[in-house]
Amino acid sequence: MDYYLPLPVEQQASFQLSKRPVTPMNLTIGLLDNTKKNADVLLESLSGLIKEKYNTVKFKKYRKPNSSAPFKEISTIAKECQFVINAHGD
Amino acid sequence: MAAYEAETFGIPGIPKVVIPHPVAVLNGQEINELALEKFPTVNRFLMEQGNFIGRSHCQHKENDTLIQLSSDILVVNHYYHEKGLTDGLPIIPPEKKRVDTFMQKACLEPEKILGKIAPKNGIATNKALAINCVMAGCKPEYMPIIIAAVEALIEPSFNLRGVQTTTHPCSPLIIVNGPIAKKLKLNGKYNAFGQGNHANATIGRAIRLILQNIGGASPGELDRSTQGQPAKYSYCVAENEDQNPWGPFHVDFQFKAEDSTVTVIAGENPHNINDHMSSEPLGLMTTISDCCSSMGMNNTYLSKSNVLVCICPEHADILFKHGWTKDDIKEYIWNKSRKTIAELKLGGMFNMAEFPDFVDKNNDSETVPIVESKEDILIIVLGGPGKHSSFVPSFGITRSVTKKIQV
Repeated sequence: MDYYLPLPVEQQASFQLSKRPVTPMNLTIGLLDNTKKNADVLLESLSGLIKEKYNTVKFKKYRKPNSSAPFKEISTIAKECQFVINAHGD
Repeated sequence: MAAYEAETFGIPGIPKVVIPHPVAVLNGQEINELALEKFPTVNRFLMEQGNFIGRSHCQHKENDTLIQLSSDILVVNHYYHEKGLTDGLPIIPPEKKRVDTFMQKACLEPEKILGKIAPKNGIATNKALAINCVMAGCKPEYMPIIIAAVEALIEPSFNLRGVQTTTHPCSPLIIVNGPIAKKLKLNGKYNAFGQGNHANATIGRAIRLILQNIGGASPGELDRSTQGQPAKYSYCVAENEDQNPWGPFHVDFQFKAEDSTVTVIAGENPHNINDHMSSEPLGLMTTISDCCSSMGMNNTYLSKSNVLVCICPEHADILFKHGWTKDDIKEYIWNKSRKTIAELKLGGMFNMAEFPDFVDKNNDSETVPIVESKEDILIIVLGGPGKHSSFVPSFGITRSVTKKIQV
């Protein structure tokens, strides 16, 4: 007998990730804090290590209003940064 | 979680560093050690061109949604369970003829698209809904409620992505108002949140299957609820309009009493409010407001959501006879159901989200309401005889949505 599967008919768009730089020296990297405890500490620590290796890298910090809500200014990050590190989950 | 979300957005190859739970309990030194351990990988992501090309996912063509199995109900159930397509309970097998007949009786245009259901952004066609409804045991005449509920769930203000993927146990509560509730025999009286009513049980169950199968929120994958809650099986009631002395809930939102509506609100299980002794509003409202704010509830730290107070008819009667309006009840709860900053600082979720300007978080004696304004407190009348009301806390960033049912 024929049965339906309860799944959606779905096609997702595909995206190409950003090309990597020859050197990260002139990058601006966004640090997006999801507000969960220690996310900011971890991002701070990671950015410190990146800065040690590439001393001209700049950072811009962002913080979600709440971990459960989307970050509405993603387009701002895209304009201001070439990469973003997002603390996600927990 | 990151991997599933990346796949949803068509970028499964996006670089990820995984740090196991729990991070919140680590001290600064431990965090620094973690960062040091993960830094080479982060650095590689910065530099390496890699094969991080996105690709599409989950491409089910029309024919892929049909499978052939034996007519044995146990075999079919075993197959669907093993594929993770059920809620764990037995299903009505969605045999092609049964689903096609269901759609005909419900007068559905099969390929009509209602929208996308987060978190996997599965496209919700009438047909996809109907398949899940058949599995849940729904009657075709329930479809207008299901369709209106799905339309409400995908409104951006409901934040379905957050509701579906949070570690919080919330689940969408479906509240039905208007003539359709009686016509389809939904229950808003004895045991309204409990078992025993076909429409309540199967409509609620169908919504859960739709959220799981079309939305892709499977437990442990994109549904990350730490403990879940029983209401995630089914969570649907009708308001007890017959015993609501103030008038039906949906009329508060400018609908006509003769309209039929669905309201969705992302809530915890109902918390019982037992007050057998109060015969006047002050005692009763003291009990109710005390139940609406405790340290483990997201709302206690002032959420931007709605919360729901379900007042039983006997409690409603006491308040109404003493001249209390719904607005009076909301105002009392908003003013009294509060913790101080000093209490909130002791644990829970303090500092995880910003307070609005009217809360001075540096003042320990400042009291914090459960929602931003009294209008965010919703009130329905629910239940049969007895003196048990209930409170449904919300999870945080989500707003209730009410939609008219097209009948």
